Order: sequence, then structure tokens, then C-alpha cells
Amino acid sequence: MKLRSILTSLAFALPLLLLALFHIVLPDSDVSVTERRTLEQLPAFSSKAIIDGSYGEKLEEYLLDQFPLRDNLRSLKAFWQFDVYKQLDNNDIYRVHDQVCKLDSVLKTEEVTALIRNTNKIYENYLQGMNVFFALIPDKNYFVAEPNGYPALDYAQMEQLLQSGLNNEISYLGMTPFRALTIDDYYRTDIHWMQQSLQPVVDSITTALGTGSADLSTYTSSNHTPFYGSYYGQSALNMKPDVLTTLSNAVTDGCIVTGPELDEEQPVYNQADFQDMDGYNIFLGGPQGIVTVANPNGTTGRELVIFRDSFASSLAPLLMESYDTITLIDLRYLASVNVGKFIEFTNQDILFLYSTTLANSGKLLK
Amino acid sequence: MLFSSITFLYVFLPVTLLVYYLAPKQAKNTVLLISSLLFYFFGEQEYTLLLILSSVSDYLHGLYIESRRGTKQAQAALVSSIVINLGMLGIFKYLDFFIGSINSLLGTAIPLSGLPLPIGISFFTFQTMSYTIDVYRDQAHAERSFHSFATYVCLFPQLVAGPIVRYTDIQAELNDRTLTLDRFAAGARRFAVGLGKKVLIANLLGELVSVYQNTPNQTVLFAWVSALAYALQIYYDFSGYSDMAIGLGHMLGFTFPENFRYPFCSRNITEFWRRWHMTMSFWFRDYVYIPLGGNRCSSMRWIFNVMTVWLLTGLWHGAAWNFVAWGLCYGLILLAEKFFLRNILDRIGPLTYVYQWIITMVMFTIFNGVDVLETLGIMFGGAALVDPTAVYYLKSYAVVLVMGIIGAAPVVKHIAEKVEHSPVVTVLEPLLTAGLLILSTAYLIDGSFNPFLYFRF
Repeated sequence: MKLRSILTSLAFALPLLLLALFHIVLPDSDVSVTERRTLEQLPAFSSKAIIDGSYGEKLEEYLLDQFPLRDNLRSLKAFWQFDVYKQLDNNDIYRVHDQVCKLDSVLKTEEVTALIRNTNKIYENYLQGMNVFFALIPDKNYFVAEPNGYPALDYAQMEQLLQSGLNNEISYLGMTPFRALTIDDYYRTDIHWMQQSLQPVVDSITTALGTGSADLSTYTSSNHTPFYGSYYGQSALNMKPDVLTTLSNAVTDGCIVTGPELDEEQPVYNQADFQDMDGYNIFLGGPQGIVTVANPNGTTGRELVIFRDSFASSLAPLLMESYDTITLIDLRYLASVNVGKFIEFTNQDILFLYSTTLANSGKLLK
Repeated sequence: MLFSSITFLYVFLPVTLLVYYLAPKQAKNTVLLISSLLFYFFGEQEYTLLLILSSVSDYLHGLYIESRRGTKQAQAALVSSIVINLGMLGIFKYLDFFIGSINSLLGTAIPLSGLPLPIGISFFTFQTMSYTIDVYRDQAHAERSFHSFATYVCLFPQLVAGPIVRYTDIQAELNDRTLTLDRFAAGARRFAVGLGKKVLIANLLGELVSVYQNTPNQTVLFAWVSALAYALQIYYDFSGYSDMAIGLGHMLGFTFPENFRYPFCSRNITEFWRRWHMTMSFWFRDYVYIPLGGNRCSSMRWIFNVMTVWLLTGLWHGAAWNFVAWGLCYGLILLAEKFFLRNILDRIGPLTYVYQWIITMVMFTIFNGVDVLETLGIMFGGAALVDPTAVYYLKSYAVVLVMGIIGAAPVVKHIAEKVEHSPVVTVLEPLLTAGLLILSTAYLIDGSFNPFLYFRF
């Protein structure tokens, strides 16, 4: 009994003391690469923060974020969830074969309505009389959720809401341009599609917009590795990273990317941005309110404006054979009322290109 | 501060235990008092003074009552102590409920006080009331040392969510307690089990309940699964907290009363309440029910006594009409069992357990207070039977639910008792203790769903 008491006491006290000690001794990190976020730092000690209780809350957040072996403990939890508890998801992340997806099964009509309202307002303020199209990119759940027994969004209902709510002058393409995609056209560890798989998308979009398409088989592939997608960190699973492939030819190589948030001109694929927390930033420098891709050698005389989320970053370079300039506007980072300060709408083609994920979070649009 | 927070587990607890064990015997209560006040202050800055004032008030009342025992002055002092304690509860817990109800009934617009509820007020006021009542009844001696009395009132393991420890439970240990390795180990094991019950079961079941509440297409199956999950969640949440409190008590040299005795194994609701939150049930029995006359009176008076106790039990749990309804329903069920149901239940064999589980799930649905009538309507057929979402979540949480059901019976306890003296347990027990601690930490690190349901009471 004595030995058992000694061992049990040690088994309880040692982890507490050692982990507390490691917490103090080990240096704090600024960011979590796997979770793609900045980590809480030790809060400043002040009597005001103590008395109003904010110190305690910040301290708990700091201790959680900087806990020793944090990534290992998160992996332990993921293992326990999937392999012991046999839960079908962990923090809404689930696996189907080697694909990692995130549950998004409840259709939030108020969010979709907010997106419709935002789009119609943009149309009425800036785009009347222009060629305006709206396309909806399916998320990964579209391909795998329902067939594998996971709760799935009512995509038909979402489309019905959009089609009936959007201004009649906007040509509604819906998900039609993306019908040829499969789950294998998306990264295993990330939310996004793969650029090298976008031939059918390019064909459909350019046909709808009335321009010529690009033959992606003539492009040169460059592989960037390792690419840890956004779901990699969220899942805390031990997975192989993806390979991110970019396609280039003389047109994309000659293009320059500019924008108010960029210090200087950039190429369409900037290797330095691949080293960011999100490797997907290699496409057009990542998330920005407004960014313009220009082909100085372009002779088409056509311009395209895309109101978009991040999916368009990898698609836009493949449309540069058809346009001299493509301007991408992300209304999550640029308020609708300010759009006119950055771009003059004349006779450009207009494409609203949103994923179902964003449509179901439409209130994010400003 | 939550027991299941990293701040408690990896800052407060190791530092407190280290200082406590290193401190000389005569300084241990000081260490406990200071750490307990820090513990409370960390979560409830503005009301720490209220806690201290409550301690001072009942300490003085206790001394006065003892010095005037058997006189009218002692009686007046007891009334004064009860009025002050109930007054605190009335102002901080029930005032806005009362004003809101008046406004609803009379269409008035009396402004609410907006006072936040001090954490644990229902527990520490009941503890201090039991003290002055016991001193008045000559069932306890008044504590001469304010230091010791304040340590009792503020003692952090049981301060904010029980068990409701009476002064007489730990009177001797307050001034003379023994710390042994065996007690520390028993406490560590109990704490780890409680932490696991809270973090590894209750929190997950809470997620399931939350999913149900946010699901647009609610079905009969999902409503029952959610009701089951909520009943188990509140059991594991509260009994886990009690286990942690009892375990901490052992580590600090105290023996706190047990609070749960496998209530889901009860054959009826009367038995359920003899096994659920026992320190509260016994408190109401000893300080309300028996003084009202108990069952040694006329039937009508007895019915009145039972309904009064259950109305108060409901109100103790929360200042809201669903708690009133919950308490009164339990009163009616217990009366029904006494008058006629028990005879029927005794004849239906194992189905009596089904009866108890169904009543418990329905009652906790009322207790939960979220869309009560709508949820009850769905449970009893007011929606589609099943849909893919319900099937998905039932499959996803099946193991946790089954574990929850098995763990609510004394299966593990019986196995542990059988292998108690096996040498394998010498290795297994420390491994399980450390494993529960590490695994719970992993869940805390990765999760954000970590409420303590009984903090609001």
C-alpha cells in the first residue's frame, strides 16, 4: 500500500510540477505554425487588470497557448477522439480516406441573405449595365459529406436562395462551372482547390464570360513543398503535407501584381509568400482588400473584376490569357462603400466568385 | 477559478500544495485561508469582501448565540444570522427575478438591479447558516478562532460548488488534522477521477447538447439523445466537481462528505434524491423539512412540508421559473410515489429503472430551461422521428454515451474493489492517475467548451 501511495502521489504531483516548471523555463513562442495564428503572450500585470478580472482571463489564454508540448497534447486529444471515442469529427474536422474536411452543415439563411444584400448593393452602386456573373464554388463537403454519412449543407436550398435573391441582371452561373471537379481536385490538408486541376473551371468560366480559354497542359508546373494546409493544424492529426503546384507560362511570368497593401510590384507567384504561415499566399500575395494583376504585353483589351474569396487567387493567373487586367476585390477586407475609391467601373467583365463556405458566412462581407 | 483550468491545475494547485506542505503545522490554516481568498478573488474580485463579511457576521453570531444559549437573545441572534444570509441570497440571487416577475405580472417597469450573482453564494450561505443553527441547537461549539472559522467558510475546495460541508463535518480537522501519504494518494486519485469525469465526459456530452440546441431540424431521436446527454452531463459535471473537491480535501487533510452515490441506479425518484446531491438534500431535510414537522403530522401538513421543501430546492438551483416548475414537479412526483406509485413500481421489475431514467431525463430538460415546452413536445412525438443529422451525432457520441451510462453505475467501483490488493494495481493506479491528468490537460489545451454548470447556483 505504501509503495502504491508513493507511486500514485508521484504520478499526480510530478506532471503538475514538471509541466509548470517547463512552462516557466521554456521560451514563449510568438506564433503557432501548425495552427496558423499568433499566440497569447504573458499579460501585463496591473492592479486595474487584476480588479476587473481581465488579467485572469488573459493569463488562462496565455497558459493554454504557451503550454509545453502543446502540439503533442493536441495530437493526443485528436487520437483519443478518433481512435478511442470513435468520434466522427474532432473540432468539426473529419477525415474521409486521406482528405481532411470541416463540417459546415447548417444552412445559415441570414448569412446567405447578407451576401445577397451585399452583392445587390455592389451591383446597384457600381455595376448597372455591365456584364455581371455570379458563380458559387463548392466546398469539400459537397463531394464527401453526404455520401459518407456526415451532415451536409443543403446546397440546393443555398442555390435557390441565391438565385431568387440576386438582382435579375446578374447572370447566375451557380455551381455549374464546377460540376467537373471532384474531391481529388482539392488539397488533402487545406480548404482550397488545386490550381493544376482547374482546366474544366477555366473552360467553363471563360465560356460564360465569352473569352478564349487557356490550355493548361502547355503550362509549366512548379512544385512547392511541404504545404501544410489550414486543416492540418486544426486537425492536429499526423498527416503527410501536400505538394502545392503552381502553373506558369510566358503570360503569367510577364504579369505584375500591384495593390495598396503591397510595398512593391510582385510576380503572380511569390516564393517568399509560400514561407508565410499560409503557403497558399504564394498566389497573388495572399488575402488583400484589392489587388490587380496586369499583363503589360496583353492585347485583348479586356478587363475583368472579380469579387472573391481566396479561391480566386489561384484561378486568376489562369485567366490572364483572356484579359489584360484582372482586379480582385475581397469585401472581407475592403468595405463596399470604399470600392469606388480604388477602381473605376467602365466596361469590365464582372464576376462574383464565392465559395459556399463564404456564402454561409456572408455577414463577413463589409 | 475553475478546477478544470490550466491556471488552477498548473499554477494555483502546485504552488498551494508546495507552500501548504512546507508550512509548519500552526501556519497551515493561514496558508489555506490566503490561498482560498486568492482563489475566490481570481474569479470574483468584487465579491471577495462579501465573502469575508459573511464570515465575520456568522463568526460573531455564533459566539453570541453560544454565550446566550437558551435565551431570547440567542434566538434573536439566530434569526438575525438567517435574515442576513437569506438577505444576501435575496439581494444577489433573487431580487432581479422578483422584479422581473412583478414587471411581467403587473406590466410595471421597475428597473432591475443588474447585480451579478456572486459565485458559490448558495453554497457558502447554506454552510454558514447551518453553523449558526447548529450552534443554537447545541449541536456544535462556536469557533473561538476567527482565523479557523474563516478558513472553514472560505476553504477553496468546497467554496464555490460544494459539497455543502457543515461546520460539524470538519470541526475537529480544522484545528488538528493529519497529513499522510496514503491520504494524499487517495486524494490525488479522487481528484484525477473527478477531473476526468468533468473534462473527458461531461464537456463532450455538453457539446452534444449544444449541437442539438443549434440544430434547425430537431427530431424525436435527437431530442431524447440530447436529454440523455444533458442528464449525464450534469451528473458528471457536478459529481466530477465533488470528486475533485473531496480529493483536494484529502490532500489537505480534510474529510468532506460524499455528495453522490450512483443516483442513476435508483429504482424510483425518491431513491434518486437520496443519492443525488446528498449534502443539499440532507441540508433541506435537517434545516427545513424536519423543523416544519417532517412526516409526523397530518397528511395535508405533510404535503405542504414536501412541496415547500421542493419549491425551495428548485429556487436554490436558480432564480427562474423553470427551476420553480422543476422543484414543484419533483415534489409532486415524490408525493405520487409515496401515495400510490411505489406500489406499482415495486411490481414491474427492471422497468422501474426505465421509469426513473425517463422521469430524470424529462426533469432535467425542464432544469435545462432551453425551449422547455418545445423540446418536451418534440420528445413526445412533435417532430420527425429521425434524420441523418441525429443518426450522425448518435454514432459520433455513441462511445461517450455508453461510457457515461456504464460509469453512472458502480461497475468500475466493484472491479476496483475486487482487484484492490492485486500487485498489478500498484502500477495501474499511478498510471491511470497520471493518464487521466495528462489526457484531461490535452482536452483542455485543445478545447474551449468548459463550463461548470453548478457555478451558477
